[in-house]
Amino acid sequence: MLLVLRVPAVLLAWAGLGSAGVVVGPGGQEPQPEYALKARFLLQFPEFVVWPPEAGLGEASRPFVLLVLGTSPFEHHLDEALGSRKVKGHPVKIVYSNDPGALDGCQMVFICASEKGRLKEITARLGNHPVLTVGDTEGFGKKGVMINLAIEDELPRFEVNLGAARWNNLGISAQLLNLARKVW
Amino acid sequence: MVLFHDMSIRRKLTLGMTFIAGTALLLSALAVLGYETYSYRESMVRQLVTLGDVVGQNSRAALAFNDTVAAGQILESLKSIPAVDAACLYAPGGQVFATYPPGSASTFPALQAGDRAFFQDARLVIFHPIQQENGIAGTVYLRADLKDLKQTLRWNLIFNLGLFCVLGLMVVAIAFRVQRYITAPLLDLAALARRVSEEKDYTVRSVSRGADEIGSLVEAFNNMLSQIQRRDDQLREYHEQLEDQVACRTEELVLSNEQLREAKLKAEGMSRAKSAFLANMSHELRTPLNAILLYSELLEEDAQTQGRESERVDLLRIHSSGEHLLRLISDILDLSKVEAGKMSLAMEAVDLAILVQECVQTVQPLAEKNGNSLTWDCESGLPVFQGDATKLRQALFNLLSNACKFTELGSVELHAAAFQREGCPWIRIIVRDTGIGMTEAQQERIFQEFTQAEEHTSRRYGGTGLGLALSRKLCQLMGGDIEVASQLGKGATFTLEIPAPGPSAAGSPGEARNA
Repeated sequence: MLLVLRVPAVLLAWAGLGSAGVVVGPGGQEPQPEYALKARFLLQFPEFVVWPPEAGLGEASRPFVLLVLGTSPFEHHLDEALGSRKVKGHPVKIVYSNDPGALDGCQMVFICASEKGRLKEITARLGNHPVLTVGDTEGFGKKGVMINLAIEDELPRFEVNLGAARWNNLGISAQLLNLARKVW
Repeated sequence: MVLFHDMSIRRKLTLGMTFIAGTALLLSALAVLGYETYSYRESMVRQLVTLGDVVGQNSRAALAFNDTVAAGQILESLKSIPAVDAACLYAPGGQVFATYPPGSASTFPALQAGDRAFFQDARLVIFHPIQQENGIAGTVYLRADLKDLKQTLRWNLIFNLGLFCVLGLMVVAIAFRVQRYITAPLLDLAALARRVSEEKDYTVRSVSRGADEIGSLVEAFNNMLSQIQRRDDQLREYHEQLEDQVACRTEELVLSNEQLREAKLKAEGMSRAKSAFLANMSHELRTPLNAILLYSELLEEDAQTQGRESERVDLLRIHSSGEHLLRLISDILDLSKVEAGKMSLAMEAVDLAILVQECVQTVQPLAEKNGNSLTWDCESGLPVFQGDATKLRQALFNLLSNACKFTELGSVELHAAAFQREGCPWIRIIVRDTGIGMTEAQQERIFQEFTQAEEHTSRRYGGTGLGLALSRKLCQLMGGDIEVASQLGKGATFTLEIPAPGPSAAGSPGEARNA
């Protein structure tokens, strides 16, 4: 299993050179694809966020819907990272779409870099619905995306837009704020 | 234990109470100490686990986002708790993620799975996993030294010991007071008992102080004293009465003794007078009798030479009657001599076999007269002994002539033997006849003076009844006796036994008796 996993990682290292390429860990371990790491960390965030009751998470049977809006950079990594994990006791449903209409009924949305131009429209559409917005594009944090994630030396670096979170009635854990690079 | 038994009851009580209370105190102190130690440790474990939980919860984000710096900062906050001297966070894979104090990663042990708390090298160590929704986010390791615990327990120990000492002293004091309540009446009683036994004063009484067991003991003791006193008085009364009685009886006794002594003296005097009279009489009788015998013998010789046969027969009758009368008188004389205590033994060497032959020869005509066979035998080796031959011969002759007299057409046997009794040599002579015999009542009487078996015997067989009495007296004088065994019509057996001291012997029993 380990061999099977290693081979594509090495291939990827050769194939995807450049800014969005492979990052090498400080411990000299096998380098991991950037989006594998991002997928992992992305799924950690809900742990430190508190949704209000109107977010519809009252019933345990309803899924926690994660929308990947725009052109997904995750390939298979997000599904792999998810595995059988649950979020706040709910099974997780990942929806890939570039239709802002899909925003209705989701609890969390990852706004891909491809949506940079439509960010205003998306945030306007969300209004003050309790939906956690996450991005990984330079400048998103300042523009109202609640958590903006980056990877440096295989370690996560993120900004938190606390004002946006409060506007959408979401509570961000102090632990998370403590780790944030910047809080808008 | 023996030491304890010999202690005074006062000390026993004090010691017992002190021991019991002391043991109880010590046990309770130990129990409290043990429980405190246990609960302090438990509470310390609880506290450290709680602390671990807090640290772990606070470190969740740092662990989730691999932020060792933030984790280090969280652990750094432990410095406000001096007891915790080392802490670290393990990533879910078991690697050391952050440490406190910082930069000491190599000193931490390998991760132990599960929620664990244990004491090791005088320190408390916990491993506390951080639970989160999708499994374990990591594990907190905390290590606390036990200085505080030890300090607390030391103070506890000192406090308990102090309390034990103070309470122990109080217990001793209380026990001393309490035992006095119990022992005081007992000691009073003991002192009283000692006084009673030493001074024999039964009028004193002890004072009861209550209705408990000691009270009833005091009462019983007082009762006993009253009873003793009463008995004492009674005894004294009896004693006085008894003395009076004794004095009275003694007087009577003295009086009757006096009377008896007088009567005895009188009787003895009379007896002596009688014996003297008999002796004199015998002597006086013998003198004329001797004249009669002598002259009748002379006349008989004259009649024989002159051929006056009819006169001669009469004269022989006079002579033989005179001889018989002489023998009777001699017997009476001897008997009275014995009774008057004037008979003495003439000791000489006696050859029993010769003596027996002589007697048999003398009696032979008498036996033949009644148609009896007379046989005798002597055991070989009969000793030659010191004895009075005349008196023995007299007794033996008497027995043989009696046997011949009371037997007709039968046999008379004589058997002589020597034997030992209590280490001394004795001789025994048995005379057995087949004559008329006698009843048991007669056997008892025959040894009395002037008695024959039956009144009519003397008429039929003649004799005075003196013979057996005299024979027995003589034998007794020699230190022996004569006994009879008989059945009416079946003959009689007379057994004569006397001591037979050797020629070298210093004296004989008869002599000793006579002296």
